[in-house]
Amino acid sequence: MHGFPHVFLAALMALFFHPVASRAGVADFDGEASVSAASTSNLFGDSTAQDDTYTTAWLDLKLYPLSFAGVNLVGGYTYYGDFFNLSSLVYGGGLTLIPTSDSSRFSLYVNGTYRDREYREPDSDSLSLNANEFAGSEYEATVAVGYKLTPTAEMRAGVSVTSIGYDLEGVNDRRRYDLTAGANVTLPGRFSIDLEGGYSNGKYQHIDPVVVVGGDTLPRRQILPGDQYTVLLEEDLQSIYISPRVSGPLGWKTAFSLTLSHRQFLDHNEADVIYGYSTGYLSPWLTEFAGEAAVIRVKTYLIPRLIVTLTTGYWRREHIQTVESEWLLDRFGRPYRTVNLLYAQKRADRRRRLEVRVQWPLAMKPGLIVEPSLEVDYTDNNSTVRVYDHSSLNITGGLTVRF
Amino acid sequence: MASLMAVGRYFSVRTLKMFSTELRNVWPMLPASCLLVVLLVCCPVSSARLLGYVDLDGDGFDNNAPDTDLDGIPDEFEAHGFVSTQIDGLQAAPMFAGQAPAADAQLKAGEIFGRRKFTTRGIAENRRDFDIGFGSGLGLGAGLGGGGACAGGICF
Repeated sequence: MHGFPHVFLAALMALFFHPVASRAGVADFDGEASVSAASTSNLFGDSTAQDDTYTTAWLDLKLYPLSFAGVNLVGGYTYYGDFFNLSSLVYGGGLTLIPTSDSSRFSLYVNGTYRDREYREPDSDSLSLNANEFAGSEYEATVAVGYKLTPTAEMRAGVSVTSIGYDLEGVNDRRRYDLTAGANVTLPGRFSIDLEGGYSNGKYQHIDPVVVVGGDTLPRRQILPGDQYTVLLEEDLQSIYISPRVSGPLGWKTAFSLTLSHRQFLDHNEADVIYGYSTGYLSPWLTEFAGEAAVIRVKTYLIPRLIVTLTTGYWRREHIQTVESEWLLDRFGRPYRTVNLLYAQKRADRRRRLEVRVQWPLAMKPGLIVEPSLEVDYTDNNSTVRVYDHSSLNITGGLTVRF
Repeated sequence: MASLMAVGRYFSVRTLKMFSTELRNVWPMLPASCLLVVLLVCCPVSSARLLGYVDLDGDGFDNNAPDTDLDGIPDEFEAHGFVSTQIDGLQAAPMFAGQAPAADAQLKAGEIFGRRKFTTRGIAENRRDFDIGFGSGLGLGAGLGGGGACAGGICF
């Protein structure tokens, strides 16, 4: 894990930077540390229903060298009990600039973040999962503006660019540009309406659907070993979404929100097939889908000292066609990877999800909050592709310290 | 010298190609950029802090409600024994209660930044990834997949 030196260096810089800046009277810092342990009945989110447990430790340090600038350094490690090759280290940092005064109607928010993820080295068994194929980095830059029309109404707009790069040469890296805009207004009766829309523009690489053999153009059926990343064509992937939300009080100490969302692709050829993992885990494309979502959330402070949140949602997701490699044996009995395009299928899911979260924040003293929490999350997924029919139950217990 | 010029030409062409590609990608964002410039130049700046009942995070509660101890439970909903006497500037409580906010000169950089960040709650995030309100952020949060629900480092 060559990432550890980076984390160590970042921690050293933070330790060095803070006292120096503090003596100069210009710096301040706070942060958050958390540990959690979880059990899941379906780690990969598919019909194989592999259960596992995992523990995570996470640290987020925030430094404020200037009154309009915040720097944060993050690092975390997740260890999986059974599928320990998936254990990963994430580290990175970010810079946030807010040059506008808090007394201004106009707000400007500029943020840049960097994350690097490294997976545990695989065992010597060549057939074991090598998650390091998906080790990589993510950069995100956001510029957003807000304008308060009245004390209870404001408008916002933002642009962001997200870039995901994988360490393995040739694996399809991704870059996406997002434009979002929205408005929020609170009506008499304390009901709030929030309307948001957005446009995304990125690239994706799909498998060239034809192959030229002896001057003839034929449909491609299979990709030979080692050619997975050499037969890809790059296309635009554009999408738009709209998401209205209504929220408000629901009796004493209780409130609700209902969020609806719709997203669709623009000029996307549904016959395109992307090469990559598709079974839910590690897939960089699984979050790119067209469809609808409806989410209802109820939050209550009825139980003294506790924050209880109940969230339920329904999604209809039409995914981009994806095909993954499979292991076969050659005539000498040696394993090799191949990709058979006949296995690419159109995938459309209907997903239901219910989550209950209980937080118990304890203000120990000014500037120190300790918060134990418990989450129970149930997902039921029906898919047009049988392997993705699944349900899962996740239970997570955590402890967060904010200082 | 010739090879240096060749290298220079190579990088110039490469840079121009990259710039051209990037420009094609970002052109839809030009209107927003123009709006940003117009707002920066023209927007009126109020001397009064505008704090009404707003729900920017979609939990149904007033995000400007005083929360003196910063535990996430608004003061009106808890009868806790501890109430911080030291306002750290991260919340709007004293302003909401009609007290004069501390002057920036009396605050540390982090406290001023916290007040500024408080006013950007509604603009720093969006709902593009559709998993609205799920997951507490415990663990590693969104993975390299670009969002979605995550179990530790794995995102679905």
